Amino acid sequence: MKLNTTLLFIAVSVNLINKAVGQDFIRIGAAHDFSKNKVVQTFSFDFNRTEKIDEKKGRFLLFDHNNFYILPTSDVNIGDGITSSENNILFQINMGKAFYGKEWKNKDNLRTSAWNKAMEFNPSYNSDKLFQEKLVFGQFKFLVNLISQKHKDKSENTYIQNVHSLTFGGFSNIGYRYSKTYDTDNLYSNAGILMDYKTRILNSKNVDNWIFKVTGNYYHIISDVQQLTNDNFGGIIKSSIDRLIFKNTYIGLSHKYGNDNPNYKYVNTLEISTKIRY
Amino acid sequence: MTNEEKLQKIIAAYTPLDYTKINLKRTIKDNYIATEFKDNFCDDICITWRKINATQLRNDMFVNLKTGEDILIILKYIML
Repeated sequence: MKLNTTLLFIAVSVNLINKAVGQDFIRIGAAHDFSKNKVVQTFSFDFNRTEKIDEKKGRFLLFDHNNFYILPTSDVNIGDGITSSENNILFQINMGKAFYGKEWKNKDNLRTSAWNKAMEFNPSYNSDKLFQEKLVFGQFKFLVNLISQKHKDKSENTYIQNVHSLTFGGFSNIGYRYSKTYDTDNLYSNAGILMDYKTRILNSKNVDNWIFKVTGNYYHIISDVQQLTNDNFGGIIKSSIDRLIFKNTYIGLSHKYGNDNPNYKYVNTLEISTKIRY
Repeated sequence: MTNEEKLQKIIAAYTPLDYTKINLKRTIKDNYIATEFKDNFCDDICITWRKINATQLRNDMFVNLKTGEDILIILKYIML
C-alpha cells in the first residue's frame, strides 16, 4: 500500500484550505472488482467529496440578495485501490443563480418539502491523480431539487427523523483535453443528464444513523481524444449505504458501475469499507 | 412584530410547531431545519431583513450560527 508523497502533500494543503464545512473522510476497506475478478484493499483520503453532484461544500465567495452565487469547490479523491475509488481531482468555480420554492407541509404537518432550482456555469479543471489526463472546460448545468424532511412528532423537543433529497438535471461540458497517456490533445465536449438521490435517517442527537445514496449520470460524448473510448456514450452509477457504528465512524457498502473520470475507465466494483469522518 | 417573533415564524414554517413553541436557544440544524434546507432558510432570512450580508449568512449558517439567538445577535448588529 504505497502512497505517492507528492500527492499526499497536495492533498494535505487542499484539506487545509477547505476545512470550513467538512465532509472529509478517510476510508479503509476492501473491494471486489468484478471486471478483474479480484479483491483489492482500498485506502483513500477524500477531501470535500461531492458524491451528491449539486451538494455545495466550501465557502461562498459571493451570495447576493438576488440569489446569484459564486462558490469555488474542490473534490480531491486520491487513494490506493485502482478502480474502486474515483482517482481524480476536480476544481470548479460554480457560478449560478438559485431559485427557491416555497415549502409546503403534508396532511399531518410532520413533513416539510420544497422544490429548488439552479442554473450554473462552472469553469472547471479535472485530472487523474497522476496528471496524465487533464481536462479544462466550462460546464453548463441546470438542476431541479426536491427536498423533504420529516419531524418525529409535534412535541417541543421534536427533531428531524429523516431527510430525502432528489435532484435531476442536465449538463454540458465544453473544453479541451490534454492527454499525456496518448501524447495528444483534443476538443472535449459532452452533454447529458444527471440524477442524485440521498436519504439520511437521524437519531435524537442529530447524528446520521443511516445514509443511503444513489448518484448517476449519462452523457453523449460529442468530442474527445479518439484513443480514449470507442463509445458514443458514457456514464456512471454509484450507490452506497452507510451505517453509524460509533462516533464519527461508519461502515458502508458501495457499488460503482460505469465510466470513471477523467479517462472513461470502466469500473464495476463492490466495496465494503469503514469511514472515519472528521 | 419583534425580530424574535419574525425569526420564530420563519423557523416554525419548517416544523409542525406553532411559532411560540420555537426555542431560540436550541440548535436549529437537524432539530428544526435539516441541513438540506439551509439555503431555503437563509433565503427566508434575507427576504425579511434586506440589510443582512447574504454571503456571510450562507457561510456562517449552521457553522457559527447554531441557534436562533446567534442569528438575533447578527440582526441586532445590522439594525444599528
